Amino acid sequence: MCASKTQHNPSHFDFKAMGSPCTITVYAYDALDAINVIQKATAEVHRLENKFSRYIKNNTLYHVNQAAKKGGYIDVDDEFISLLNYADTCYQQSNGLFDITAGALRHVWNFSQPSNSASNNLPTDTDINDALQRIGWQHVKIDNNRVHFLIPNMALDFGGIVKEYAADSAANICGSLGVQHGLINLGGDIKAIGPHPNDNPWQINIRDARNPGQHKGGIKLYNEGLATSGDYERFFQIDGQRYSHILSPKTGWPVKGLTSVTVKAPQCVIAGSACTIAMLMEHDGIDWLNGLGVECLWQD
Amino acid sequence: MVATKKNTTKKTIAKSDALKALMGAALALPGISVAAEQGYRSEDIEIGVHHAEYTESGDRMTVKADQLSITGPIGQNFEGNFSATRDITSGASPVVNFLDGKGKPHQFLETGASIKDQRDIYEGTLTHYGDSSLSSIKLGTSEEDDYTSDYFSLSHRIDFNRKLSSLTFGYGHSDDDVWNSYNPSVLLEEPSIFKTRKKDEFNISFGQVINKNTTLQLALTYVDSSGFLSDPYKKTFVVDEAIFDFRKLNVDISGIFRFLVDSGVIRYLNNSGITKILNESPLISIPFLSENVLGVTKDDRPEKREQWISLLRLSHYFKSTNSALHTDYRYSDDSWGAYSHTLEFKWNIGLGLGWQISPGVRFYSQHSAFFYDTFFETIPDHGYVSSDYRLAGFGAFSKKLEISKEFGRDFTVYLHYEEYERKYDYEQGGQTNGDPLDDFEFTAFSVSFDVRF
Repeated sequence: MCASKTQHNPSHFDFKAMGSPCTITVYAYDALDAINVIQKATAEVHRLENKFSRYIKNNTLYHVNQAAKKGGYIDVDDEFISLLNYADTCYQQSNGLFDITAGALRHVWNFSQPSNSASNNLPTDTDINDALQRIGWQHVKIDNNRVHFLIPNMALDFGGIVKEYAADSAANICGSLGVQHGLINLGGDIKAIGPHPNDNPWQINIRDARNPGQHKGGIKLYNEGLATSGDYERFFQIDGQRYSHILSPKTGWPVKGLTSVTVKAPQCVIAGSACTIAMLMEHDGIDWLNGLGVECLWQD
Repeated sequence: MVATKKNTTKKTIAKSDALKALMGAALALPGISVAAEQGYRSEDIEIGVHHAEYTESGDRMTVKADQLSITGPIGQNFEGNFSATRDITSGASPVVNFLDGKGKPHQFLETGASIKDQRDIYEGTLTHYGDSSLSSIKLGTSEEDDYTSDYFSLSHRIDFNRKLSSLTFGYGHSDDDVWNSYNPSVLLEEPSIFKTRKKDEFNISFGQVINKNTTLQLALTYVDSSGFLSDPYKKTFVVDEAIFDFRKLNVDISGIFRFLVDSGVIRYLNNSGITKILNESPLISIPFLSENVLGVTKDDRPEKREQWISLLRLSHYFKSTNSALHTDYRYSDDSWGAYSHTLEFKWNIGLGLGWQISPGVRFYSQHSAFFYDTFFETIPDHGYVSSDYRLAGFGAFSKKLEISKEFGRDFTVYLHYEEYERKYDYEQGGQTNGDPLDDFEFTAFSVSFDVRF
């Protein structure tokens, strides 16, 4: 049965996934329909989390990383391959800055420390160089559905891709179930399914990094994706210099330059990788985004 | 927006090659490509695999069933479904009730020649989705080694009143051939018979959305069956047909047969071929002897049966608990007198993350058919006799639990559990012909999967 009008009030569902607070907002036909849609959308987010999270043992990514550790190969499904292809495109477009094999650096830089005490735990050059040896997308070869790791002790990390892809995919599921108005928000990685029923866009306010509690501006979304890179609450202060927690696969050091970048793009996964690439490009990031042709909001 | 020297926004319109490259790679991602093509879920091909098993208490039936079903779109407005089902029934079914020396009936299960029936069902359905209508045609065939049924059904639903109301008309017809797969190695089997029967079914149903949370359905079905409606494997014990009233002689026929079964004599007679030799000998007819000496008479039912089934279904959604309660009441009137009441409650609770749990209870009460009894003193004036436990007066209570979990969008697993208890004294509104000897219980468990492609 298909009513012609959607709900006057949207249905919200808050949940936690991929280490972030998430919210799904949909205007559905009725409450039952909203529940059905939200259940399927959250199931998709959890499916992707279960498959690609680094923190879950024995999932797909875990098995791939076991092969990466040995320097062997493994067969993966089409979805995995298409994400690797997407990551490859990001690698090409960023001249090697966006590299999903850069995960080894995370073990060298200890992010669990409070932001101001990181200088006490600076890694040694030896540690960093050692990690850099194990990084490099060029050491990964894809042959049909088989992934080969040409050197041992590598690791893949889909940060900057999977949460954003999950937002796109969850939004798609809502759309395919007939939802025309709604918003998926996975910890700031956002995809709009369509504007409010009165055709007003979703107004997304961007927090001011330097003045907590205040907004730095807003971006309007109809059916686009939005992602932000650079977490104001997580940064390093080293010798008075502010560093992001985003690590450069070239130098092995946290990037300098921008505090945060918010990008609006046709898909959330594009917004996510574009803002990460901009952060990695440091002072050249904004020019690169301008050249890319996307709307962005940035703070340095 | 507050702009300072260090904060700027930039907007550009032209799509760069880099963006096109990223778009191309992003659109190849399965979760994104679906929407890019504006695909809908109903466009998927769905495959369902179902397996079910159940076992009755007291050495009776075990049923194992497997089903494969495929559903897929055909053109813009049609959907096709095909399913193949195979179920295998084994065990023993009650054949006749013998009296013990005190005149009390006891079931005789001829376990030495246990039943093993395989049934194959093939069904195809074509459905048309109109703007405010839904029509379907179904063709099917069901085959066993002693039974075939060819059937078809038509149904047409019209939605009106801004789709808040619907009216459905249905018609179904089946032609069945019934025979007994005569096995001369089985003691009490009749020589082959070959009979036919047919069934016509008319249905009208009205559905109404009462408010956002409540829907109502009313349905009326008329079923007209005619032809050979008896069970060729069932017998009934008629005291007058026996050569003596064994009760007066204080002879315990049920005890004798139970002894013959328990000691393996019947199994030995059947398996060794002695039964076969006796059955095939022109000088002796076991069915004739058992009827005229012991009073074991053929199941004999009227050749016409009319049933009127009315259904009232109320569904209510409870927002506070994310759940929907379905209440069904069904009354079936029957020209055989086996009319029945069914009351069923099912509660579907969505737990989120793809989990759904549905507990349910069902109560059934049946009046006995006018020609049913556990045994007969004499053949009634109308001439019909049956001791088939399915026509007895009884009540049945079942408790069900269904759990389903969706994994992603393409895979769903269902678990189904049922406890069924049939008791003659569960009948409501006065006990009719029935006996505790037909009481039984079963538990059923089934697992099924739905996969979408």
